[in-house]
Amino acid sequence: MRARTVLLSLVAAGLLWGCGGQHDPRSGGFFGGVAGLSGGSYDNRVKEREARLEELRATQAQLDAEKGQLETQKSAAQAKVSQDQAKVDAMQADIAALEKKTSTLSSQQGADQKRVAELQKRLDGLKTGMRKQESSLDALEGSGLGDAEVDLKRQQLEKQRDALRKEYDLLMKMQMELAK
Amino acid sequence: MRTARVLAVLLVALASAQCLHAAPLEAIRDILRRHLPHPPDEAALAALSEDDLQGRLRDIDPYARVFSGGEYRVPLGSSGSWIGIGAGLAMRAGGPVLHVYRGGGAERAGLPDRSRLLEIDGVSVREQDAETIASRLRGEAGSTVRLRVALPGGGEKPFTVRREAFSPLDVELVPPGSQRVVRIRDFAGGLTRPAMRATLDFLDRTTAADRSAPLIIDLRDAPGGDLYEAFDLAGLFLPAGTLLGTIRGRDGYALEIRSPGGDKYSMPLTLLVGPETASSAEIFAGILRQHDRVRLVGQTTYGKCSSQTDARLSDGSVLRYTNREVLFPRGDTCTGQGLTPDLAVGDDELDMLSRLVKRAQSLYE
Amino acid sequence: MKKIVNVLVVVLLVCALLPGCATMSDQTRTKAEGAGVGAVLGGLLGYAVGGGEGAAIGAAVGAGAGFLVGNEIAKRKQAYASTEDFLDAEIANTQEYNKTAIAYNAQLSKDVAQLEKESTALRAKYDKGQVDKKALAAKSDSLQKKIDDSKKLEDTLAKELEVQTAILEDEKKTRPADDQYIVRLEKEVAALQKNLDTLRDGSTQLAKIDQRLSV
Repeated sequence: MRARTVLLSLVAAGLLWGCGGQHDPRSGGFFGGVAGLSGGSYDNRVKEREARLEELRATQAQLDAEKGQLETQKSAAQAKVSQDQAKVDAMQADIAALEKKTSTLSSQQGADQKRVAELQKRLDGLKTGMRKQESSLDALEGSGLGDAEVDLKRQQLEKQRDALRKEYDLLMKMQMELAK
Repeated sequence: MRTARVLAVLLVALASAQCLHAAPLEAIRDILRRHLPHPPDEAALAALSEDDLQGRLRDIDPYARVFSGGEYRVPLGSSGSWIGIGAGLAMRAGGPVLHVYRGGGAERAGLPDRSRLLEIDGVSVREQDAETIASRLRGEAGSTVRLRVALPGGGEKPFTVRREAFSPLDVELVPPGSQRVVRIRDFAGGLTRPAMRATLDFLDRTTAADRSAPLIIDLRDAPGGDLYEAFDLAGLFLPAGTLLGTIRGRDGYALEIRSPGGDKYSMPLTLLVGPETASSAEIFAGILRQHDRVRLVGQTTYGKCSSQTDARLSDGSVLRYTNREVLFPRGDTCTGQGLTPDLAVGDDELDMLSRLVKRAQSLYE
Repeated sequence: MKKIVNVLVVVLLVCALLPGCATMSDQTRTKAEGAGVGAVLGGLLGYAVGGGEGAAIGAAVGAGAGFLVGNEIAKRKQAYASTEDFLDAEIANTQEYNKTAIAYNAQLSKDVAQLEKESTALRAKYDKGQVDKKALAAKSDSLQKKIDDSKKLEDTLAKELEVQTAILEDEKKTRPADDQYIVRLEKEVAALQKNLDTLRDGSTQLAKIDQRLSV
């Protein structure tokens, strides 16, 4: 009888020992096992873990979704930046071209101005020269004649002077005669 | 009474004002009455007034004119010098015509003599009067003007002419010298005859032709000039003592003019004449013609063989009036009918010197 | 009977008390304990059934059955342990994953913000550049116009120069060399004329129609 009681109490103790709190299926031996199995603590443990995993999975999904969004955003932003950069590059190329053109035109205009100033100078010089020539020719009282005609003009003048002198002398003589 | 006195004073004032500032009409009447070759009609004389004086004068004497003291220029000497294209502007029925003077800008630009002016600087001259056209042609020395003209031979052409100081020759030698064409545009007292002599001597020296080669004198643009100079010039071509003509005036005034002594020219002469050959030029031509000394080629001349003189009036103005009539040796005058040419040409040919020269030369073949 | 019990107690106690039991794998222990319990139960049954000998047979049988039960339990425990291990691993993985993901996403956010900043800067640059470009284009156009005007002026001047040069050449050809003699002659002639006019006393006979207009 005593043996039975001892054994039974041992089993009970074992069982009791097995129950109570978390039982890790990796330990606790047979009794722990029985306790865990029957007490449901093994199940609870699994359930706990499953719930935790569920939570984590939910967070993971969220994070994945976020990641997806952010990645889309990022690639869109990158595309935009590339676009903007391309625009800026194109514009800078235009500006560079314009600057080049402007400097070419500027130097061309500078050269043109010089040429025009020169032409103007030459023209003015020509006109001055002509005026000088004219003023020295004005001394000819603008007879405006060609070479052969100068001779003719000269001769006409000489003859006219001689004839007038003659007439003048004659008239003077007559006047003096009349005065007598 | 007072009103009458005031009125009287006013009337007197007006009358004296008239006397002071009006042309001395009585003096004019007096001169005309006494000196016109033919006595004027008294009624016409009475009609003379301040109102349209020039017009009424012309009714009495077509060449009479009053110049104010400021505008009168003694008709002495050659045409002077000016700044321009070197041409004379004449208004004909068909429009303005340019007489291109030798040695001027127009001639140098190649503008032919007697071209009909169409446009100045791209603007037409149609409907414009002589003064307007002349002022458009004038400008500063050194400036240029674009002219569009109708050429004497036909066709139109533009010319760019430079304006410059210019004085015309008293006698022009038309090139080439070998064709022996000289031109007289004006009979300038004391100047034209010696100029003609100089020119003829020049021709003799510079051309191969001898002194006896025919001479052509172009008188198409010769509105006249000093009467005595015309006689003297005629005398160059006629033996000394030849009766050239008679200058007749009022009260039996008749002065015979004879060819003077000195060097003479005996070469055959042809004169180119036209409707603008007038007065002294006609007298010159008529005298030579009556002595069979010339042939006339061209068209009938103007028809004025009268001569005018100038009288200074008390207010400083000058009255020009006709006081002499010129008669040719046979006693006739050209006044009214002009001289008819021996060889008549059409209007187009009259402006083409080369044609006329050919015609003139043909007369001596 | 006593012997068996003694043995069992000793075994149990030893196993319970000695941590060294832990070193023996739990599985082995479970199975052993199961066997032990089985043996006891079997023994009890055997004892209940067959006296002392029966207890031993019963114990032996019981141990075998207990061992089987222990085995079962061990298997189940194993299963749970494996499941837990699996879940733990998954949990750890997922945790790890999430940690990485959070960091990655944070970086992505930063990147996006940075890119947007860049974009804004580029746009500003572009806008400014457009202004500069416009200014340059305007400058270029004005220069071009100046050049065109210059060209026109140049052409005009060149033409004018041509004309004036031609005129000057022409002048030189046709103008004579200084002839002061002609000047003197003209002066003399004019003077003589004037004197003659005074002598003639202003009486002229003019046979002329309208004078030409000199132009």
